[in-house]
Amino acid sequence: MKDYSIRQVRQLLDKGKICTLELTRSFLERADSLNVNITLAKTEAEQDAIQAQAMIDSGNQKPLTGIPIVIADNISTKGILTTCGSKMLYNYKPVFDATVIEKLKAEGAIILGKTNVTEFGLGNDISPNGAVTAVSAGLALCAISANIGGSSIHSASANGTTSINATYGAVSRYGVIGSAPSLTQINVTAKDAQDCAIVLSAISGKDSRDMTSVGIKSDFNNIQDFSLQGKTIGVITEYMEQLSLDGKTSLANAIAIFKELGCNVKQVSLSSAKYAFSAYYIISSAEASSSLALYDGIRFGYRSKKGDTFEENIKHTRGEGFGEEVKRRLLLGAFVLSSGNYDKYYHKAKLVKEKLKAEFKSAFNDCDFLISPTEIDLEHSDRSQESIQNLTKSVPAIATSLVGLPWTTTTCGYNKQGMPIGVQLTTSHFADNALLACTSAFEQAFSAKRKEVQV
Amino acid sequence: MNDKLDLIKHLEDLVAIALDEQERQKYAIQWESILGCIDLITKADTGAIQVQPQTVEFKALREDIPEPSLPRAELLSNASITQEDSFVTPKVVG
Repeated sequence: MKDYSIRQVRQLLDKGKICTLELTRSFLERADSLNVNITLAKTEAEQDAIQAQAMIDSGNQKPLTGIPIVIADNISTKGILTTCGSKMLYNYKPVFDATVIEKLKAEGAIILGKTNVTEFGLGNDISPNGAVTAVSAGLALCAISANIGGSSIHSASANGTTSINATYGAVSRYGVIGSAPSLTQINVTAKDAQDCAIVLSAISGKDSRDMTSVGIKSDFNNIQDFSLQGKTIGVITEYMEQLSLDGKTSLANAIAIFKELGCNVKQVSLSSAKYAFSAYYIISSAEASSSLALYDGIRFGYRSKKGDTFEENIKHTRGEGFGEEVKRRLLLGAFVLSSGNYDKYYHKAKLVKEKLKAEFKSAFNDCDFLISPTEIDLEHSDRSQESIQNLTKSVPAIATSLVGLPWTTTTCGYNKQGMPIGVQLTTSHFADNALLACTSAFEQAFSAKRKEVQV
Repeated sequence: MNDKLDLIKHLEDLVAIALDEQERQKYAIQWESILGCIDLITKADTGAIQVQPQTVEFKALREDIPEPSLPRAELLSNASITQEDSFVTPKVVG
């Protein structure tokens, strides 16, 4: 069952070939036996499975009823341990569900448990993104995570799964424990774009509790009949020079597939992309220094025993509770926002963001979609800085997330070691449906071509 | 080095974090390298570009309609120290 798509499992459940409890237990047992880093919610999952089966038996099932899903540990789940990868949230059990969780529960989806994340999403992504890895390892049929500036894209690419970061505002962020609100988007990872579409359809839409959420047409299910004939794909030239030989070959093959599907291909330039990582690092650090101010240990989470006064106690709590990278980012955030540095760094980063937005807009005047590698090897002023090495590879996703555009990543080839190589596709704001359709058309053509080669 | 240590101490105060001496030394040593991550941005030509307030334009705010609050007992359940219906903090006023 681990290799099945959501669509295949839906059919088996609806035809009564399997029951939700049996399905849920098989996934829970697999996670248990592999001893993976997932905080399982066994009791809750089995109770949800029984309710989901009742929905199916009464003919009231929805697309995700009975489908096993994992949730990244930076999304609030009522009564289930949620630590956001931080000692600061020691033993914290949210008293409410995030909107995405409410929507999944209303669909009858089964939440198997919580997967690991880098601390408050600010890590270097050296440790694999648990949500993405869980789908790749067949521990769930789908994973929902909150992605800050494209930081999970590296994992998705390396694991051969398909991910979509929806347009900023398409999915409510209420209940997401974020550190950089302007860069945080909900990410859906599944086996392919069609499965991603089913999930996105269920979780998107306006939410009065998130002022940045926007009501858009949320039917992402009709993507099968999409034709790429006559569409224009823009190849972002700046990234092409930053690729390994395997990466160049795979991307060239992907471009060839788009041509075979009837697309026109043209070169486009994003000259500000080389500043995207610096802008992301500045803005996310600045926002973190404000957003993470609420963690004081008084109302929830870890609390230090040191400090006799209110202020001293909070300082010790935060000093002991936050990890090394988060503290580094908080210090940097305060620095770039302080007098004398604000214009040089923070304001400049915001200007770069605006310029990048204008460059994307200009590109979409001539192109329907943009294609780039998922990972590059961008030169940076200080590659010896361990804390950023892996993040710099994700610049295509970071640049896109900076301006709130949707992007997908899927497999377009394999390196000499047989590891997947990812391709990223991007389109304009709120054209998520077309983006998923384009990604799905590519996946089907890539899969067919691979079978031809294997024969 | 002393100026870097002074800077780190100042930033510690701004973000309300108590670092131990070892951590403070480490961040002071790393500081130039940390700035190296972001200094590239100073070379960007942003010309006549102006900052827009948000990535996506916001629609109207929701109606201000009172709704029930979360149960007090549940809200207190995550605090490490409580007393009756309250969070307990160290003394705020001397």
